[in-house]
Amino acid sequence: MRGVSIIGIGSTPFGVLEGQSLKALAVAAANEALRDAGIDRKEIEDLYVGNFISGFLAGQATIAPQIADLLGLRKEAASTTVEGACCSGGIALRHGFFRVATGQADFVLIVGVEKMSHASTEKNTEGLALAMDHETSEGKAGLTFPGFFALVAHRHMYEFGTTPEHLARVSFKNRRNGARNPRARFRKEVTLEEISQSRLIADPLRLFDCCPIADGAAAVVLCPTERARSFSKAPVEIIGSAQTTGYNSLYNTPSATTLNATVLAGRKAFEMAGIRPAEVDVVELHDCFTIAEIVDSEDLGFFEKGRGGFAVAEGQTQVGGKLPINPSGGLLSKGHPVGATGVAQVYEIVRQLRGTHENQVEKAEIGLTHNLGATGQVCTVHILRRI
Amino acid sequence: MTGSSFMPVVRCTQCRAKFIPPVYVCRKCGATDLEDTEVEGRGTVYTHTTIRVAPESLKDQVPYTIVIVEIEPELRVSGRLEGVSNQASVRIGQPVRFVRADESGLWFAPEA
Repeated sequence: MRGVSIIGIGSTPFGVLEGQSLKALAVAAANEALRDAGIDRKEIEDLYVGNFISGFLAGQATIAPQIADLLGLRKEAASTTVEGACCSGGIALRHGFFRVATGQADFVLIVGVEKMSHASTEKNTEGLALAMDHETSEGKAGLTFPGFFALVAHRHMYEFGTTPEHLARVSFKNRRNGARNPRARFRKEVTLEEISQSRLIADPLRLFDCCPIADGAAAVVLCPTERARSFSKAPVEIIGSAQTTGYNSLYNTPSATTLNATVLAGRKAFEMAGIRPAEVDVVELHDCFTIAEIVDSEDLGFFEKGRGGFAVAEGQTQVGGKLPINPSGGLLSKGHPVGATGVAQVYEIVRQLRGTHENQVEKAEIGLTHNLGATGQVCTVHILRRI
Repeated sequence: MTGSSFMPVVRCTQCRAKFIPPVYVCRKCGATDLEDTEVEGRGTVYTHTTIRVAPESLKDQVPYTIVIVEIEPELRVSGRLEGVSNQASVRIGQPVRFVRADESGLWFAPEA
């Protein structure tokens, strides 16, 4: 295996992007990444597109070759769509990583994209719920995604003394971060009072504990590390890449306070990178709900199990704290265009490691992205380092 | 005490591990020879939530409460909890019993 680096990044803003189609968003993000890399698009040998649900929501399947054609990639290039619910983007990146790492390709383009805002809330809810295993007893009972994480939250509160205020603190921090990020859907800070008085969605989770849907796309260009400097002044190397599998239902998981796929992906990625969690400077993790950020931060090894909520309340995860988590605003502020999120997390971390982020973490050299699919059924972790 | 209802489970004929259906292969030992059986549907609430925003098809049922019930140390199941008027009256550790199965899956009720 040889070293793989990111030499170009691109992203659309996330939010309600009226009049811009799924493919227009994908092409915009990809063009920006190609320009940023300073590479001729005819050099691209592989395209991987992370997308969850364009067939259902946008009425369009087989999007990877269509995006490749619109981008004007050469016809010898392979184009592939990958799907793993909310983890689709992370999986796409991992596929591209291995194409370059194993020497099968030199230049690979990764795009993550989703178009959601044109569809009704009911249609989006129905679409997202397709990622649940409907044959399980919780699928039949009418468990929603907020409901799944609400079950996690109640058990976490019971076992570790996590409080509703800890949850609110995650939302407060991420909305504050999002106010500084021009790509975020929500750019307004909210007060703890507004959060704790927002309406209940699935007890104990309230509206501001849940991330919003969004339209958006993000893209990165990969090449062998040995060639990265001839394209980018600030290449970022992927030093760890892991993907794991979880459980179809919460009742079958050994513990509802741990998402096992995250624990295993974190371990594998740290082992591959040869570093410890304490060496990470900045993290973008999958805060689809406030409790998810708390659980993820423990499962990745940054905090002892049960201490994630306390760490947030103590300010350890804010910019300037011991370990800034989601300085982009995370899914809670940026919004969650499902297939785009995993690639967008990498976009945000590359900006941090280049030292050009709007909400910069000082002296960030090593960053981590954590992307989780569905009910913890699939997880990717990537560790990135400035070289 | 009301009569206890038995709840359908699947048991591996090789390692005897029990699972909530559907299960097509024993996830513990890999055996494919599985048998339908029942367990007494009594347990305690492992965790819970009340759904207030539901998918379109269940909109008229909100709010509804979902529980994970621990039947045995390694046998948990999700279902609906009936007979609770508000979320505050549900607590982890509370004894519940299986009452029936229908299109909404398994239903539990607080132990009398």
